[in-house]
Amino acid sequence: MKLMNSNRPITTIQVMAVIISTIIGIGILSIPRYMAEAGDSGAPLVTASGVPVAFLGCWFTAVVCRKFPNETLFVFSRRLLGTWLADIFSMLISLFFAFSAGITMRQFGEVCVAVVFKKTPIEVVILLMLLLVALSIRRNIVKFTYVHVFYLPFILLSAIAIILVAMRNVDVLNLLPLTGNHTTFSSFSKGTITSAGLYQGTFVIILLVPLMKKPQQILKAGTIALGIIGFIYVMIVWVTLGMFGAQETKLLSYPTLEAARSISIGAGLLERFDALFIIIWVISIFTTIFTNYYLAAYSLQQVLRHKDHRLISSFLLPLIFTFSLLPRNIFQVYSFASITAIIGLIFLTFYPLLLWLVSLIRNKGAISHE
Amino acid sequence: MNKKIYKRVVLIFILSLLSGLLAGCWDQLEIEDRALVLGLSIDSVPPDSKTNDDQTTHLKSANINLPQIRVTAQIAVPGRVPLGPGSGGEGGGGNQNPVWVVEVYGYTLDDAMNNLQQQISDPRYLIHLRVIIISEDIARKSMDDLNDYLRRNPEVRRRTWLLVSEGEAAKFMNINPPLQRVPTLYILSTMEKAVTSGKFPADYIGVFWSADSKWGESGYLPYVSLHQEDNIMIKGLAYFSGGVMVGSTIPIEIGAYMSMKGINPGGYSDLFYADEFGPVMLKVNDRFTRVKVQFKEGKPHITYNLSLEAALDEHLRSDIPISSSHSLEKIEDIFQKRVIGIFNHLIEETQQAHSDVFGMGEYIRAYAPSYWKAHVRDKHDWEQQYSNLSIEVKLKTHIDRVGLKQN
Repeated sequence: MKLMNSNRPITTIQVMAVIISTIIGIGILSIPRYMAEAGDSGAPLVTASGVPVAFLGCWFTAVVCRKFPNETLFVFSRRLLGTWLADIFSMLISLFFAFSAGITMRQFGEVCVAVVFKKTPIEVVILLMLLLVALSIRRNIVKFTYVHVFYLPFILLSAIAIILVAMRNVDVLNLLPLTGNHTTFSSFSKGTITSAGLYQGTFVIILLVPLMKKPQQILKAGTIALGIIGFIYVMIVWVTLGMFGAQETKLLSYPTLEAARSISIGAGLLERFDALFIIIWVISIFTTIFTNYYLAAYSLQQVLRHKDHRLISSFLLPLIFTFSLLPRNIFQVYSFASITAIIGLIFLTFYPLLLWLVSLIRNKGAISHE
Repeated sequence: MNKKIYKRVVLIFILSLLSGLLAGCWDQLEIEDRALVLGLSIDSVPPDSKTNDDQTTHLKSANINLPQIRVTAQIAVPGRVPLGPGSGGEGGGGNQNPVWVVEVYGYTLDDAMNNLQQQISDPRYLIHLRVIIISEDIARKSMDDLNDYLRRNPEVRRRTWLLVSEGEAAKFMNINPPLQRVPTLYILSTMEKAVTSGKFPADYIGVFWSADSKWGESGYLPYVSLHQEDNIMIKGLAYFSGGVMVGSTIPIEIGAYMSMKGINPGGYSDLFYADEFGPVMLKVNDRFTRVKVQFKEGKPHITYNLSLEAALDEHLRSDIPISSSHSLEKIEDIFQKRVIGIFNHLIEETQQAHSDVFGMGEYIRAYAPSYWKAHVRDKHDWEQQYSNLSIEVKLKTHIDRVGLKQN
């Protein structure tokens, strides 16, 4: 038992940290706008409604991974679906996360060039960040976990600090009525899907389960992590909408950034929180890309039956870079991103569900072997 | 062994290549090489005046079809902007002006900024832009240009002050105030101090934009004028309807507005004739407001319950003493009637102008969403309906102190 624990060093809290720091990322900047478009003053409610939808995918993944606590999804899916089919799906996972990483990089670059570095070519911003991530992912999963655990406090504490400071400027009138003025069922459900699309980083648990001290707690870790992120997203939408009102929020490209720019402590003593915000936001983008890239490289390695993912990760670099340069303008970036998010939501919810159902039907499971 | 050395050489080579990345920022630009715009003023140009078109952004034949504007920019001169109070003695010379005032013409604000760039050597930056002053006729014509360009530009903060001036706005760029060496910073501190002393709401450009976007609220801006060459007087609220300025208030009505919004601290005093007590001045120290939305015969009815904490500031006729709780209550009564008159006047004025600066529509939108959905389809709708809204103001005043003099 002792020996086994030393092979499984990742604790439940660390898994939570990985999930949280993975998910908090690019969406944080523009989520209040999408939510305001969907639900007016009901935006916080729309945001919250995405969490249960996102939880489905997390739940299916956690349950199926819990059944096979000694293997990653890539390995046991072969036994459940057959080698060929499983490899095709693993390939799709790799492609999806590579593409998602590329689009996230592009959005990151767009914001940086629009707000901070006006003369720097966007390719340079993207490539430097991508190189940084590419160098960082040449490590094993345990170190991958530690990187996330290290950065999480910076992300969480500053997010909470900004929320608390901004809360003083909230006008409650902007948040009433709670369900919004012009909400229809279709706009609301569209908002729910958009919100749910932000949480696909939970899929990272497939890497962590085989290394967890207590793999049975994976569902618990996922649930708590989703709860925390959901809370942070709702709060961010809440303060942004409370500061600007629904109509103004719809006009702004990056409402959260705008909110951080307009708050101050002590009558102008500390102004322009956007500097702090951009710094932590860069960290949170880094951790998001880090996970996406890692998942892409790792799943490709599994498909190719290669020894480790390091070489493969280097080959993925130009691919991700190309993906990031595909959209021709900012509106294409938005539509690429939202289509990716919806595809991801569907794929990462139904693929684990499929695996789980097959495992139930074929009555396979590794728990009895221990 | 050989392989190891080879590996190290390669590593050192790569690292030395990477060291180029440490050299600095791609966008690096020293602060001395920037033209930091501190303040802007925008005036309209009379149609018959002959100003030449700079043609920096267009050909003459481009048919812009916009009235020209005159933009005056105050640019900080590097090294001459005093950083603290300690530098009193040195700046004796007459040409030690810390700012440089440049005047340009253009069809839009962006056009004018391009013309400005064509004239000054350093790249202009709006990151330190703190005050924008527009003349009243610009505000009365159209704000679309300003609202779009300044919202779009990432350098502009939402905490910039946008002021509407009575008369020419460019004069504000040329003032020479004794309290501050940089004129724009003087205007800025005038506004900031007005906020902390309860003389004006914290109505930054971002607040104005938010109100302007809301369907149930109209925006307002500070209305200022120049007195004795160098003094800035806050003259009132310039209130907007349909995105353009439609009127302005008098200073005491700023106090009335802040009371109705319950903005603290209280900074205005009211001088009135209190029947047998003669002229009395009351200073309002604390404002509190509660707004209720009700329906009377299917129409919304808004009730403002205000309570003001006041102190007796001045009482001229010492032969009629104010020396008992009873006489204070009497004064409270007279004050309430007087002040409600001011409130009602302000409400009537804004109702006639279709300008809901109080955001009463927002209360209806928030608390009576079904009525809102059935009756209001856009901002214009509400601004029209606001004129017929039934509004009631109830006031409670409490005078607790009379200062250091009895009776």
